[in-house]
Amino acid sequence: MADPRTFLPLSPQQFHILLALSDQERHGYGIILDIADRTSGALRLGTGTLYTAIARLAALALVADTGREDDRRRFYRLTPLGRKVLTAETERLESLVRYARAKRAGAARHRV
Amino acid sequence: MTTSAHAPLGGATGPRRAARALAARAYAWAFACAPADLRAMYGDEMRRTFDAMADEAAAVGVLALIRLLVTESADILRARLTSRRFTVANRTHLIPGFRQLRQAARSLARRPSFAIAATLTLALTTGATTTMFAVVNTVLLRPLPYPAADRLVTVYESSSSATAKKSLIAPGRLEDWRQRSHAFDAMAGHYFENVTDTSGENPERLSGMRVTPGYFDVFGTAPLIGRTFAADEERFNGPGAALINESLWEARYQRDPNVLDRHLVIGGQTVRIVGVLPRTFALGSIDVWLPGQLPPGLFPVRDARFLNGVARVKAGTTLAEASRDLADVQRALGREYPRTDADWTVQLGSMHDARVGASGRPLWLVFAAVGLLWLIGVANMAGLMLVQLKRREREMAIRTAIGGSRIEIAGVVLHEVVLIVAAGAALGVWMASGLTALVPSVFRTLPRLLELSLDWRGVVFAIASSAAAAVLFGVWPVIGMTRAGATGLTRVMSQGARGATAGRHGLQTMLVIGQVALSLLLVGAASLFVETYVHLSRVDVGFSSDDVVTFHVAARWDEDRARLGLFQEALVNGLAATPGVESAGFVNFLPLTGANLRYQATVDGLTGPETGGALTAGARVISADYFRTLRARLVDGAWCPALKTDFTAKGHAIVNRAFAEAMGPGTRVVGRDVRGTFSGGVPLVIDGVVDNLAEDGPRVSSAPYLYTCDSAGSWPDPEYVVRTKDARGIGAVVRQLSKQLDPSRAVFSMAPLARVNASALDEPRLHAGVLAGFAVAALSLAALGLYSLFTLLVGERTREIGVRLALGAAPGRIVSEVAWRAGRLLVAGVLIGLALTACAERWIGSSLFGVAPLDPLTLGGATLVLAVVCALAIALPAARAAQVDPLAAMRRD
Repeated sequence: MADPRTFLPLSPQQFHILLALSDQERHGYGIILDIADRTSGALRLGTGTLYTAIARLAALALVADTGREDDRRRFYRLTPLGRKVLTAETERLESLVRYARAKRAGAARHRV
Repeated sequence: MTTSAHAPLGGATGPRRAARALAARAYAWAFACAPADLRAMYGDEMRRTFDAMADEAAAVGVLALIRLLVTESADILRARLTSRRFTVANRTHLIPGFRQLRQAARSLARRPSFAIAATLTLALTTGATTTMFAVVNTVLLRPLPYPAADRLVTVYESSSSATAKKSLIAPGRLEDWRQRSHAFDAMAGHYFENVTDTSGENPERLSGMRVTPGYFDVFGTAPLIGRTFAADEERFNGPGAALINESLWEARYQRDPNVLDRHLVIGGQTVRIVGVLPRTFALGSIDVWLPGQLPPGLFPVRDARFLNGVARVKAGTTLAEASRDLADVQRALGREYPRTDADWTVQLGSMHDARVGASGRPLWLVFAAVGLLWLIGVANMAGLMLVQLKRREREMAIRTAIGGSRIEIAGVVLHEVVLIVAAGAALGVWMASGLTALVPSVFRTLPRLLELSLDWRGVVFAIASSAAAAVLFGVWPVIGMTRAGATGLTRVMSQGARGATAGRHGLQTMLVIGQVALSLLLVGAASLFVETYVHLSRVDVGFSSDDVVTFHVAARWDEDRARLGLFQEALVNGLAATPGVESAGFVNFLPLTGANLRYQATVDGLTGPETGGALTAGARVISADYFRTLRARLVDGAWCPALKTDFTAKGHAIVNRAFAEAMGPGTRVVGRDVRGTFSGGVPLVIDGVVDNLAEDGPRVSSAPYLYTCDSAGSWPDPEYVVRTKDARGIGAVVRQLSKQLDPSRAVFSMAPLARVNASALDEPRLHAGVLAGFAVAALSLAALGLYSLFTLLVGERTREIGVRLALGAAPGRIVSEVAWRAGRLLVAGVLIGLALTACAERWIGSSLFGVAPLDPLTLGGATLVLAVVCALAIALPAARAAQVDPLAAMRRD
């Protein structure tokens, strides 16, 4: 299996899609609704963006078609690699946030 | 696809259902734009997902549906523009650098206002400079449109007596020069003659040029079709022949190649069209070239000077060598004909200079102004760039922190610069091509406009200037920025980096000062030129052109003068007898039209200011009622006696006030005899003194002038003037009258005299207009630069301002601090601008009239305008500073 870190950084859309699939399989519209729900409507993907991202994630073998169809709509799931990449990206973001917080705390001392 | 599997539209109303169906169709159109592989792999999915979204939106309302449709279409379009690399394989196809460019494009698309502002600024300034470059290049730099044009010269006679300037050439002398000189491949002469062609239904006036043998050999231009004149056609009494201009060929013969079988009828003589010359051949608008066919009897008359000389210098011979060669010939002629030739020498000049003439300096002036505008534009873009860099400081710092090299980081920004420059240059060239087409209608007085085009040099200029702009507004700030960026993330993240920001604002402050300075220069220059125009248009020209109409009636110089005289007499008298007409007359050259040949005059019994008691004066030939028609003011004596065709009676003359005063204060010239070359040495009696008319144009006041009251017919082709209350109807009256008297004559160039006079102000008006336009553009750009600088400054200090307001500082104090800072900047800009204006004085001084180049009132006014505009530009940022909400400001970050 490829090193998950080589896929980083993910675009925000990719990150959100992986996140949407992390707890259950979803179809396209389901992903859109989940992301919109999680971001309180701030991020609402269009079909062009969504399927471009899915196509790319599928090509990188981070998500896969489940083969299940409900109402003729395909469902997608996270692959094991996809889950590892999601974890790696989350860690990367976490460390970045930690780093930024530390620096800002240091800077605050200079401020009036 | 239009029917959704689960459509919760049972209760939906008709319009909503229709909208839902329409939306599905519209999505299908937008979907066609999606990338092909995406369509193939996920097409059905996408449509189904859209259906689900559309159902949800339709349940909300038609507006929601429309909103969905718009965002979906945009989304698909974006996918099309930005994607194309959703398969791993595609990536390998990418050209190096292309990926970065696309990244840059996406990055710019996220900041459209910056991208648009920078691109438009570059496009506008590039368009304007490239257009002016095309004009300067065509008119001043490009060689004349003839083979080996640098060897073409103009040839004139020149009198060694100090006051007379260059003179036209007598045909006999030209012939001697041609035969005896060694430095020339060819030499010939021409004179202008407006002819009437009666081959068509109505007589038509054509502007013509008569040429001496070998004229076309001088230029070396081949006719488009046909040939130049044959030897027998150039001989006196030879068969008639004509070459016509491409424009006439097009307008009258629709470029018919069989035009060579056609004839013109000029002065009753049938003239065969033997060829067509390209429209760029002639300076101005010559319709037809005719062989001079000068009578042999004219050649011994060595005082009959009427030919403009042109010549082609032998290859390898300089202008000075050719001049010496011809001067030697003329010296020999002086010994041969001491009476007529001893006093004369030759004057050679580059034909390019002669044609481009006085338009050089004003053109360079406009070009310089456009260059300043370009500089201001570039400074503005640099300002915009700095604001952008400031905003992206964090991004850059993070890139540095995660190990991006300085080049890589600069590259991110430079790719954006490349995109902006490419788009700006392309737009600029496109604009320039449009503007270049407009130039001839705006700069009507410029020579060589027929040759005007935006050629490859123009495109190279646009690209080069854009590249220079890129270096100035892109590379320079980026280098400064990455230097700051390299010192690390910490400072930027802490937002307390006073040192770095101050330095960068220093650069931007300098840019704004520069903009203010250049704007002042342009606004000052524009005000000076506007004042010049106002002064020129208020000059007392010495006559009233209201209600006066001027026109021409075709006549040839070799016509029977007595017959012509009777015609002129009958026409003028007939017009004067027409109801509504106050008076009518004619003159050989109208005032303000720039005909300023000089002659030497002596008044019997008085001593003039020059050697031999002479006075150099301009001369005009007038009819009796000319001055009355123009309402010129009589100072002394009386007007000319009534117009008659009588070549035997003693001539009369009127002189202007400048002439009378030059003869000595207190002396009375009326009643005395005046003689000089203008009358062939025959004495004329001075009847009266007229107040000065602005003969040489509004800039030149009161040169001495002498008006000879000629017999009708002595000047065949004068400018007629009629003072009438019915300017509209006078055209028909003149044509009717002329037709009755002589049906073969064309009446042409009928225009109100006021319009003719106004055209004397075309150039100053144009300069004032163009410079005012540039000044307005410069002011707007400088205002924009100030606005963005202060928005940035206030934005940065929001927290500080918030704290101070919270601690009880008065908002007025905050505003006055901002204003103080702007004021200092403005003062610096104004001082530099005034210094620049002082340096430019030398350049513009000679083009001004009635106002000094450093006129304090004008420059003060310009400074005031600049100050007001600048105050407006900083008003919004200053107000914003005063309205900072302390709590919100401190909560930020």
